[in-house]
Amino acid sequence: MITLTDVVKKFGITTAVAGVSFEVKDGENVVLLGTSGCGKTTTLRMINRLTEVSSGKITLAGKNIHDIPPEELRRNIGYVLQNTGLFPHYTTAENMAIVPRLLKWTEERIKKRIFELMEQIRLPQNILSLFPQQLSGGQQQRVGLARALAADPPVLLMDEPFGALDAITRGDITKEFSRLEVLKNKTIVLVTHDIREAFELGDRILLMDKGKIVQQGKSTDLLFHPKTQFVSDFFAAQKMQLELHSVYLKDIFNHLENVNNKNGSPLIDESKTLWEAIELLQFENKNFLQVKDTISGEIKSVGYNSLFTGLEALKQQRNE
Amino acid sequence: MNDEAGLFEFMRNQSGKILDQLLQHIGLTFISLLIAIVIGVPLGIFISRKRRLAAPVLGITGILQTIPSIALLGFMIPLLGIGAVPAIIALFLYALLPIVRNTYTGITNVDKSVVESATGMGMTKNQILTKVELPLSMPVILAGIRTATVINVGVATLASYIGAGGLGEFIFGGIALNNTNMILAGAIPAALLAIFFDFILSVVQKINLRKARIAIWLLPVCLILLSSFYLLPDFYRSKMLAGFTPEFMGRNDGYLGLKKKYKLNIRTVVISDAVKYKAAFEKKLDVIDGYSTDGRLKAFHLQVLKDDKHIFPPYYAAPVVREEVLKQYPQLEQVLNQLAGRINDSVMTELNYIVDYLKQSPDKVAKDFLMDQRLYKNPLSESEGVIRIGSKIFGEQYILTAMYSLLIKGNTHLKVDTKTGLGGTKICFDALKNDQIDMYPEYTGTGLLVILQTPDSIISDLNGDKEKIYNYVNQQFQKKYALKWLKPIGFNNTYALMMRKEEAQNLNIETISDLKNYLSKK
Repeated sequence: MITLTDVVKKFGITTAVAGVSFEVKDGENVVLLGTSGCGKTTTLRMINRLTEVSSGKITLAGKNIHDIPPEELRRNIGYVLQNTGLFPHYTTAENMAIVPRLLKWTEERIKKRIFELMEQIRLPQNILSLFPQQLSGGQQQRVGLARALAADPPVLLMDEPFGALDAITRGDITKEFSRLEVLKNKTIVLVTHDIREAFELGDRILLMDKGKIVQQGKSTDLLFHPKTQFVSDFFAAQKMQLELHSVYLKDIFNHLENVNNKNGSPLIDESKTLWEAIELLQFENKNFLQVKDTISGEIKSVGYNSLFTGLEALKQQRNE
Repeated sequence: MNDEAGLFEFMRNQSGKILDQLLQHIGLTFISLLIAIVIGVPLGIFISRKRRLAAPVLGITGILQTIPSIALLGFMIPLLGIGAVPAIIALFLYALLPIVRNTYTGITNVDKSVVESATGMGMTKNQILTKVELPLSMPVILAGIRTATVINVGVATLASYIGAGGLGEFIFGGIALNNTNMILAGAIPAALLAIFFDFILSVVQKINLRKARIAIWLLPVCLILLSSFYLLPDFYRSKMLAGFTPEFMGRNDGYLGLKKKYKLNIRTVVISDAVKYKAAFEKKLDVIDGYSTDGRLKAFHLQVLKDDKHIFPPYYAAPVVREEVLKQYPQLEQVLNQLAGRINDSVMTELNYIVDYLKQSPDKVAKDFLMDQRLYKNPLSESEGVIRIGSKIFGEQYILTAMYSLLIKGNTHLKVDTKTGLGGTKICFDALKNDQIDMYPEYTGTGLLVILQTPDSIISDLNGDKEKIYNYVNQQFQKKYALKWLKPIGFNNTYALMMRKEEAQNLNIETISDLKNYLSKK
């Protein structure tokens, strides 16, 4: 859907992006991850021509974006910003109608689309006539998303979409976003500096540093097989938590013990992460859970100890 | 006298004129405001795009703002003459800064992320301007327009100085004539006008966000409507145009007398003393009022029309001094009287000519004259008290003040403090009455008519006699205000109507009656 080939951006004598190439497939969610100043936002902004490339080529659905007038290009790409960028003088409904109006949709079609979106994004109808400053931060963010999705663009660019929210709201909304049906078949490029957000939302993560892509791949690839010292250092601080988040019970199923007299323990699905297993243990105030392999029907038991020994065993196995 | 009742009566009697002036005032304010908006808003948008130009543009408009309004009007005269055009341009220049600055500030302060999201959604630059930047900066822009409106309502009062009309006609006429009711008849509507428009615009500013789209269209319509008011009162026309000072317009021995005794019917504009001679010389005006000893008579080739029905009483100049001061410093009276009878009409005209036209300083002219008359002495030490001398705001008064100052310094040990340029008669006289100054040169006719407001019966008894009027005025001043008129200086600076010599000769006009006959011929 989107390809970048040797893309370079220079601002005066400083090089913000120093030769970046990657491809985003149809329906794929790609996260550009990195510290501030690594060039991730500049890379994103070049895709909808808010910033023009210094050299290199970007194509969208096979067409060189340089050959498409910028306004036309942007109307077909959803764009979500950190500070939402909602028009303060427009109501929720008017904000959502901006791009459809630019595309000269009929009022009827716009109205229908807005109601449809409100449903999909799970926003209450009564906020349609409210102004952005009357909404909560989470609602504003969702309206921002709804606005970007209004004309049903195949591609969505998101620049730190949850950056302005507090940590708790942020966690909730990130989870909610990852489950939204409307986003399932969109091609999404998302910029963030938040590792957990990247892990939660990205099919693939591109870790950037100093204007270059250092490593790309699935979250577990980056976590368990860092190519460079920079990559492992980048995840070091939250390593344990990230591992628990990105490893599933089915991954360690082989390393778990067979059930013996733990029949009273609650049941957990094998598609849950280790983190979720720990949460359930704490919530139920139990020492063990039962896990069932959906294919073989085998049931095993898992407790705090076996979770961590299982994880260690998995890591050893992967490193071999 | 009951002032309040007087004011209402004055306003009722003059209601037609107040309405004319009010309409002219609104017209002047809004024509200039409209031009300022049409030019200022795009200029503000332009410099918000080209930030490098912002500092110089705002700097220049800022400098325009700091030019005193009277001076700015003065600059306009050589370029554009008198009347509405220069007044509107001056007002426009004053309105420019708040509008340009607020437009610039408003647009540059629009949330960057909003503009970015607008761009990111595929809005064109024009769409961003009209749908995002202008609506969001509208409250700030309107605040600028509001400031400009209030400034313009105020400055427009000065437009009457260059014959553009407006409520300033009453205000300055009233100041010149010592007529509080007249000042208030101009000042109250002007103040109400400012408050009213300020209020209306504050309302517009508040309803903004939702109804902005309607307000944006209503605003120019209202502006054009209000601007057109200026043209309304302009229905009287005649062959000639007369420019009279506000003072002359309201005096019985001025325009009122011309209408009453000569039945003179001429289209008039009110204009300041400073520019009327030049305007007459440049054929912008045909008839002006003036003083018979004025130096500019000679400079601008003007001819005095003979007052064949004697409506202008004698105006012999003499120093008016607080009696208290004369008692405190007994030597003073004799010193001041050294000038008595020394200057006749032609000498005074000559001295005025040197100052007004040849641009010599009044101090130098005064010194040269005193030396010539062997009255000049080197200043003595200043060991006694202070004498504060005032003057009205024209050359002759400056010269007389300078002469008295030199005489006092040369003959006494008193210190002299001059307060020149005290505007019209009212300001000078009030300053003297309230112990702000100790003396100033005044004219017998002014004392009789303007200050004492002598009833008609007594005036006709005095029969225009120079001696009788002097004695009457002096006696009344001592009785009422404890002020003494010293001996007259000699010249008679009376009012006069004047025309360009050439035109007067061509039309064979020598007297005011000739002028009246010419005008009524049709």
